[in-house]
Amino acid sequence: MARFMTPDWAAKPTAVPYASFGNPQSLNLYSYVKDNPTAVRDPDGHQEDDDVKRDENPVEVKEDNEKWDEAGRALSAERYASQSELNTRFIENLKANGGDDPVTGMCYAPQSKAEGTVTRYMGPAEAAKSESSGYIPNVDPEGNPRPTHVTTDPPMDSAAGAKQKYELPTTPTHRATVPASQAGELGPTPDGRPRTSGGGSQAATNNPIPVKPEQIKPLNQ
Amino acid sequence: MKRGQSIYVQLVDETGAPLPAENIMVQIEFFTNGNYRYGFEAGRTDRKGRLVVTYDDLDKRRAALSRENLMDYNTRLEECDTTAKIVILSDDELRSRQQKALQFYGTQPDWAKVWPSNAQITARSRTMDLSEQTVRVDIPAHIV
Repeated sequence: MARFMTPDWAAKPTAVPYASFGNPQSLNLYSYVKDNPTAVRDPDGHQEDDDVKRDENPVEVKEDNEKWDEAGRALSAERYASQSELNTRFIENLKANGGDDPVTGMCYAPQSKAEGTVTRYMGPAEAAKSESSGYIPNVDPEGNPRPTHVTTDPPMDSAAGAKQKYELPTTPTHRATVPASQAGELGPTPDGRPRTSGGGSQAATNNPIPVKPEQIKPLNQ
Repeated sequence: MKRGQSIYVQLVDETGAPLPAENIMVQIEFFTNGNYRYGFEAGRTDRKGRLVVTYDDLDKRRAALSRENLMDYNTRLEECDTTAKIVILSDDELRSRQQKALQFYGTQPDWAKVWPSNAQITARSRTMDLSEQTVRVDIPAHIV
């Protein structure tokens, strides 16, 4: 098995399993072949290869649970299932409540908050453009795409407070607060570091966010 | 990307010889944790098909955008991954970006005032390692 850990990552590169966001179990870097070792194997440490037979004399999989228990394999299978379920629950919990996955480093924005509103703090130019175009753009003024950052925190009306909390480079003059459902597909910020990339509880979307003029409000200066 | 760092970009033909294609707009894209973070126009090639990109130029651009979009450009260049990407956009991609800028901002992007000659070539994107202080990157391209 090519999968092992070393305390010094720089010194010895190791195979890292490929992950699929459609399968939370694949995000667990410490599981082997998504906890299905009796059916598939992982020759290079990246992903399971179900075309490769595990060995020439594969273990007979018995349907009868009692015989499995006697052989001690049913317990093992249960343990695998249990671990897989725990991993799935762990990821689901992260997605629901937000937090950092210690294994993958992924940062999840809290879903419960995303069901409320999202707020974006703006300068005067962005506020004016958003009001006239009806969108918070997902491109810069040169047309280059960029993830649009928002916060899932309750909106603040204090410009100075927002500048400080979200580590903004200048004092904002406006905020746009829209229902999270209006913001399209929200995900974690690209850098996965909500406290350094603008601070606070952040999320980002790759889509433009439709916004109505009445949803853009001036802040108290 | 590190402070004081320079990136030397050179368009090359299939033999690796310099390709003298002028006025080609070069994009540079930065990533964090492997995720696209932001991208800028790095500049345009000279008549020898080369371009020098400096940290200071890019950081000024990032800082200017950060003042425009307060929440989107707070990740500094040196916080991005050490792998960045050099992209030569096709003419269609340039027109698409021009349209988006017009749609959302109502004005022509600055770069569109003198249209780049990207339609004259096709080129492949290149990822580059920015761990060295001086980075040289050859972009394979050919005249259409």
